Amino acid sequence: MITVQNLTRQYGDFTAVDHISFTVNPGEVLGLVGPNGAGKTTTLRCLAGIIAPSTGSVSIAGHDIQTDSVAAKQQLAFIPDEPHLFEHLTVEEHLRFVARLYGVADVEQRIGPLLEELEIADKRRSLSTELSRGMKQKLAIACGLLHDPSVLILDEPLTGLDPGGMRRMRATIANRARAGSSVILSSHLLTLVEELCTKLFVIRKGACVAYGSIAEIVDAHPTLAGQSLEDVFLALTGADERLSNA
Amino acid sequence: MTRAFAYLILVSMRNRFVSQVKRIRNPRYALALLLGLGYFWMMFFNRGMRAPGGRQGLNLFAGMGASTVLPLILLLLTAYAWITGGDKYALAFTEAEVSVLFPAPISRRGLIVYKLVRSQTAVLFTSLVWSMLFRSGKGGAIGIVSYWIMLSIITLHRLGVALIFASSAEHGVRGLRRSWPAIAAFGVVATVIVNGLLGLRTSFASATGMGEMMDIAARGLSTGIVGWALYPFRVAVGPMVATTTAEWLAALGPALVLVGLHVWWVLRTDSAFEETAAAASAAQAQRIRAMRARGVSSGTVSVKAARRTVGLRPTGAPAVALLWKNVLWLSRTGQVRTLVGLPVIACVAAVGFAGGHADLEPMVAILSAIMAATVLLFGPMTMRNDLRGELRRLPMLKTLPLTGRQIILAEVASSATPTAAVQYVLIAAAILALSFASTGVPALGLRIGVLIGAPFFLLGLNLANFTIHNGMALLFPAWVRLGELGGSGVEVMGQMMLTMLATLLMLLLLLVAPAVAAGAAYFALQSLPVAAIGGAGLAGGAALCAEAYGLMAMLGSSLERLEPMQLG
Repeated sequence: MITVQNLTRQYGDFTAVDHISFTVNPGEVLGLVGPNGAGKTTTLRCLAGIIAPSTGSVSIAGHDIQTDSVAAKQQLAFIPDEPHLFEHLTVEEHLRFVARLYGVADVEQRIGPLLEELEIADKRRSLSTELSRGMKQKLAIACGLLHDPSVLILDEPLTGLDPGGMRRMRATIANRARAGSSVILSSHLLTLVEELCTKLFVIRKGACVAYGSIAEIVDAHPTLAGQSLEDVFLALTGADERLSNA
Repeated sequence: MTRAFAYLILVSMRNRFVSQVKRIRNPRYALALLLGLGYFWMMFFNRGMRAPGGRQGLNLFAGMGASTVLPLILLLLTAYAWITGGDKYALAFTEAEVSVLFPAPISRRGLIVYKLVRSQTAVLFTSLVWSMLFRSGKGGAIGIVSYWIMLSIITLHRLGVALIFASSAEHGVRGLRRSWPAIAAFGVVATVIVNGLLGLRTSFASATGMGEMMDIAARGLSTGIVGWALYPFRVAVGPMVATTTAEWLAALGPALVLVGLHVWWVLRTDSAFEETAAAASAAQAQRIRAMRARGVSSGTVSVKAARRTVGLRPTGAPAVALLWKNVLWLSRTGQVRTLVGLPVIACVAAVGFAGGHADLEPMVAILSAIMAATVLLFGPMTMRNDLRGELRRLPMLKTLPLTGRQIILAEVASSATPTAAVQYVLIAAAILALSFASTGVPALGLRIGVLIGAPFFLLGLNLANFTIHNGMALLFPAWVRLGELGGSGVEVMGQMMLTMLATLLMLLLLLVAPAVAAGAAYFALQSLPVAAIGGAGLAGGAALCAEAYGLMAMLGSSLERLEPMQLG
């Protein structure tokens, strides 16, 4: 479970995230959407413990990410849009490294099926430098999933994947949610968001402009009834005004 | 096009300067800058702090037989460039430059000119640092110009050699033929000088001291054909070794002509430039990626090396995973061979001379001890499999389920432990060599005491040393090189020397308490030499470990507060 309360993050005088609150229960997938520079990455980085909130709190599986960070991170997997891999480790060694960090005792039984699921089993003994961009992304995802995290934070997870990989990744995210993980998914691919997410959090200029299921959001904005998610997004973020002015 | 290049270089410099100035608003950077400037003022500019009767040459290199030694050092540097193929990274452009400048309508000569001008910023900075560090007299602008001339010549020469080798690789014999005058000239010059040095062997053997040897070398290398062969090298260092302003002015003209000749040579050797530059840029990009992964200077990992691995249990202390990963890195790069090579050579020499050359053993012992000290000083510059490289992946590092202190401990231990092991084997080789010496063999108790105490002391010393280096990177990430930034030659030595000076000062401060502890242990146990020396090593090492651990705990908190934007 993820609980965010009055999260604010400032850089000097600039407020990147402004008093946002939301909850993601086990089995839910929250879509974090917003235009470029809206504060999505800052929010995700606060959730993952990479940067500290200026005010407010973030709880991961009941542990505060600031005051009880190690316990919180034990339950967490953060998969960034740009995979950070070690050039001197092979695919399998990456997974063994992660297994030791998270104490995954049955790593031997997990490596094979996980690599099969992500279709990189034949690259098991390859260095990460030998992998293509998409395979690197798959390895980063495998590292994130190895310890069965109860909280999954994904930033543009389909970047670099081929169509087959995208389909399997969508299924993987859905399966993890069904298995009880709380998932936050940030993406500009609105079809992906529409397909997977049970709730949306629309952010603009650091503040929440809509939160709830798509049906709830449309109910709160009757003028958006019957429109596509893209139109709803553009209307909520004010992008349609800018487009019409242009 | 020239205006576009000038705009790019000047605006980049201005923006970098502005961002550095903005950082001084941070109290930590401001305090460090004040301390640094204060130190430099006391050491190099405050006449009251200087010892009376100090030399008043134009710079430190004036006199002291430097006019004989420096040209030979320059010859060695250039010979090294010819043997190793020059500095291919001198041709490397950043990824942004490759993607913007290469497709642009710019001639290859234009690109080389841009590259040369851009490299001058680093050369000028290093000249400035050297002029401050090696200044002993009126120096100032004269010192900067002198160092700039020599460093520029070295940089240009390495670039020229790299272009010749690139041309040869691209066009085979045809490429070499194009560069035959330069190849022939250097070959003749090197042969003549080496032959001249060999001719002085008998004179050297009869010399009674270093002063006489220098006189013999000065005479032998400044006359006849050898004198002519060494002339370009003397010209290059002429301004540096001048003792008066008049001498300096007289040396300036020829030196500038030599710089001009090198520029002309490099511009003329521009064939295959784009291909080589692109390849060098790609190699550098890979090197940077490797650096960002692990922080190594030449650590591209070979696929073959990846076939060997080390086991890791999935359960246990999680921080061990970081140590394991760093051990794999060490075993998969050429760095480990360099590291292990030194003590192996020392041990082989110690044992090898034991039979018929026992008189050489003290020399082996001295060289081993010097190498151990060198590893302490320069080890952290090359052994960077710790936080300094890892900081580039700070976002990933901060998501690991580890405390800041655990991360620092694992990272510092990754580089400190193997360095300490190498130093211990070097010390052991020195003891071994002394044991086989024909005369002056130290007492057995002394030797055993050193062998017992050294591992503790060396481990503590290296933990403290690497903690300081990592702490510098953590506290001042904008001032410390976090991975490879494109240069490995003399032009980036300025920043390296500043870092080394600062860390050495801090290490000396940290050594005060351990020295007291070691001294107390020695005097308490002095009735038994083995226990006294071993105990001193143990006490000193324990005190160093305690200090290092305290520092690591503080740095751990800093790591937990550090954010990616602060890396600059």
